[in-house]
Amino acid sequence: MLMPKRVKYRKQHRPKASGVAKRGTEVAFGDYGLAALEPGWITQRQIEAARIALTRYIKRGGRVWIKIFPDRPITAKPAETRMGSGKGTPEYWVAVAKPGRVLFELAGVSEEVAREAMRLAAQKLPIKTRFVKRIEIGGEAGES
Amino acid sequence: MAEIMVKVRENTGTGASRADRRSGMIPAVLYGEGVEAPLHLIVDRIPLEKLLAAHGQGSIVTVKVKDQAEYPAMIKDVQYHPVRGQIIHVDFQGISLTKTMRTVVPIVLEGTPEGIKAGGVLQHQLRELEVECLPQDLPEHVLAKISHLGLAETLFVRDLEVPEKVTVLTDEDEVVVTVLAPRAEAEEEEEEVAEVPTLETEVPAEEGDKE
Repeated sequence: MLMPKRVKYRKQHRPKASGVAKRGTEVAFGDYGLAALEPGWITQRQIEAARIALTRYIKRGGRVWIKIFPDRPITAKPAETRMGSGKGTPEYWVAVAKPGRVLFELAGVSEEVAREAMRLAAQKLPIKTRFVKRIEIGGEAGES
Repeated sequence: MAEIMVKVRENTGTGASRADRRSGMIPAVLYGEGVEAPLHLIVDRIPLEKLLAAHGQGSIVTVKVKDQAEYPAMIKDVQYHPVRGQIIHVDFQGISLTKTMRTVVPIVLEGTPEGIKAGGVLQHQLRELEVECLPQDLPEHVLAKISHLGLAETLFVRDLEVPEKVTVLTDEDEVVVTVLAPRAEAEEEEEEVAEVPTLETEVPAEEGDKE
């Protein structure tokens, strides 16, 4: 699963997820992408589950890019613990997704296959998403 | 050369731009060669979308400012809304028709590589080529013939056929397209059941010292 190799501080404040994505809003590497439509935390497990769903569906063809990285630690207190006594221990890692952020990209498969693969991957995620395509710089005149 | 009618914006700023977008106009700016000071403009959304669909970003257009002069310009940049995908702003860069200009042209792939038929995966790495030429010599696209590529073969920038009057600025050793060999099944399975590292393996760099 994705997680940072080493971090400067083990515990952080809870990540905010307001506003829209400023970067990573375009399909940059592949031909198709899965973009977030609402803000949310995506855990390392969810990213891994989505990746497996994508690679299983496209089988051996195609290539997958994961464009988010879970770099925010989330802490939790043990069950049945009284409040207080400091912050809990780091339990898992999340990536903060904001609306517009492209989460995954795909190349080397047909659009039909990409749509279905992304649909399956989206089911592993806690937020609403949309299938997006690359914005080509050329117009119709540039297509053969 | 395609034409686009624009108007000079009377009100600038966030609020005025949003009001313009609500009324179907897109804020734009014109700067560069032949333009003394940057002009803040508004463009009708529908003709602009048609122009972009037909010619695309990087193409050369005549910007006709209402009640003012005409400027030959390049569509330098188009900004899209990150969620809705609508155009929110356009940059036109004024150009001189007698001076060479630098821009990017899309690389269009032609044909299906032999390696794909043999089960390979096409990896299209470079989609735009940076070129320098006179505006009238600017090609709409550069064709990359890839039908001869076999498995694990690569097409470089130097292999592209570019018109004589066009100078390519992109490094000639850069890879345009590679046909990747199919991954072995075993390798894929191995990746899927990769060992799950636990949080205990994480090494805090600084906090550990404090505690």
